[in-house]
Amino acid sequence: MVSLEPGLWIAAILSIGYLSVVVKDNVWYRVAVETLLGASVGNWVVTALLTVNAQAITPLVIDGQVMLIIPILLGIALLMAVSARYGWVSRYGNAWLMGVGCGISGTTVVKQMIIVPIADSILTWNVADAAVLLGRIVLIVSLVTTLLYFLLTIERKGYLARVQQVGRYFIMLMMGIFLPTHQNWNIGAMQQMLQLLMHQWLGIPEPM
Amino acid sequence: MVEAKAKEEKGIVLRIFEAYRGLNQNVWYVLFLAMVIIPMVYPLALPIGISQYTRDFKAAIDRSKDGGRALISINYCTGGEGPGLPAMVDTIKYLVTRKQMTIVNVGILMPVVGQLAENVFAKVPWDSYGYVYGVDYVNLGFIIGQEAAVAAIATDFKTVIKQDYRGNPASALPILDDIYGIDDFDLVVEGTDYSGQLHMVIRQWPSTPDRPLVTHVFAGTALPFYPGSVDGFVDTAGAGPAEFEVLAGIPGTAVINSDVISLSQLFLLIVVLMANISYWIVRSLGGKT
Repeated sequence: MVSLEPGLWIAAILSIGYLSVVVKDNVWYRVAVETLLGASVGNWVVTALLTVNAQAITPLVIDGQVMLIIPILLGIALLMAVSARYGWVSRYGNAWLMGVGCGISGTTVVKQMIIVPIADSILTWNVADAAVLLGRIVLIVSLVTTLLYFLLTIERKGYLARVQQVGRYFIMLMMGIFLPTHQNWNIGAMQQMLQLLMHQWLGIPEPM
Repeated sequence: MVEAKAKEEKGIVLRIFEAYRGLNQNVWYVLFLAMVIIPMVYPLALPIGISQYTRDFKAAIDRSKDGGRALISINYCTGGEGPGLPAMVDTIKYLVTRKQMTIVNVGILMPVVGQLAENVFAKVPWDSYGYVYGVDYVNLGFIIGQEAAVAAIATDFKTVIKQDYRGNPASALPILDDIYGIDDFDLVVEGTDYSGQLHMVIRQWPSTPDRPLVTHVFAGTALPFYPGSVDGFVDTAGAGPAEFEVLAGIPGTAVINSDVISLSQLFLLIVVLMANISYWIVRSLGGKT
């Protein structure tokens, strides 16, 4: 049975508009896309305002946490970027963001993103399992040859050029893997839209 | 006579393939749409091979503490809900039915993740498991602030979390009473289609022997950190969610999604092959390419 929920009808009309591009570019499709973008931005702005209110303004005004003036001022400084005259003030907010970001991620990035993966993938050798062993060898060969491919300060000739060619094949292989990955993601997005139309809007039961 | 007949046959072949190459691209789009819809209506039940990534994903969950607390982070966008939703629903069902874990969700990608988490929660039959909202499971919605917020959740949970997605104050949610940071969780499950969010989680909520970190993500995003920083993952760009359904014995819709991907990719493969074959045939017969 077709749903009578108004929200679902709006979603269905916009979804059909979005899918209508497979036939031809049209106004319905553009309205659907622009609505999605507008709604996303609106959602972001409202969430940001509510967060600033809950985490800074309310504690400052109601609880008297005066130290919160500092992040509020830095936040206002960021907004000055829209001013031609006072745009330079935004650098202070940006500098603070960059500094905090580097400080927070910098303390863990070396261990969690470099040492641990290398230790667990390259340095751990299980010679009893031929498949794992082969995987480790391929991993090291691909790592070295790909890094050498980007060695641009030495002329590409002789053995180095051949090794770099191997690295190029590994890069092409990786890019080939990424292509269907993104296709699958797009198919998943389309499928989600069709599920909304078929099962939630039109009421066709989901097969199990 | 024979030569003329051969020339005529060549002409027919040429016309067929030229007509094929001249087909309007929208025909292919509509056919592709049909390839997506057919398995959604008539599941094909194509065979599914289970990868080591998915086995490790399940093994890592099995290693976590029974009756413990799982930190879920739903960070895929609306477009990623296709594979992301069934994968997360199946995982939560497994955590609840096999591990009796309590569930805390907190998103870090963008505001819409709060609603996407509600969509996931709506598919889990909490009542039949005896789970109560705010006591056994909670959706904290989206926490703004990117990595600073992720780090703050890990070390200063109560300062960051003031209320849940539904507007209930944190003080009214008993499940949050004794949570002060990441060390109060026994498992981290992150679902995303962005590499940045996974990187933040790896850095700020790292895997430990007592707290495995598993994820639903594209294989290409997880592989640099697996095994090591990521204990196991479900490849949401492939058949990962379906593999987990089969491996865990949890019936769901991911198997149907897997059929959709298989059939549509097969169609794409045939179209690409045919495009190349027709190009070479037309070219060899002297037609316009």
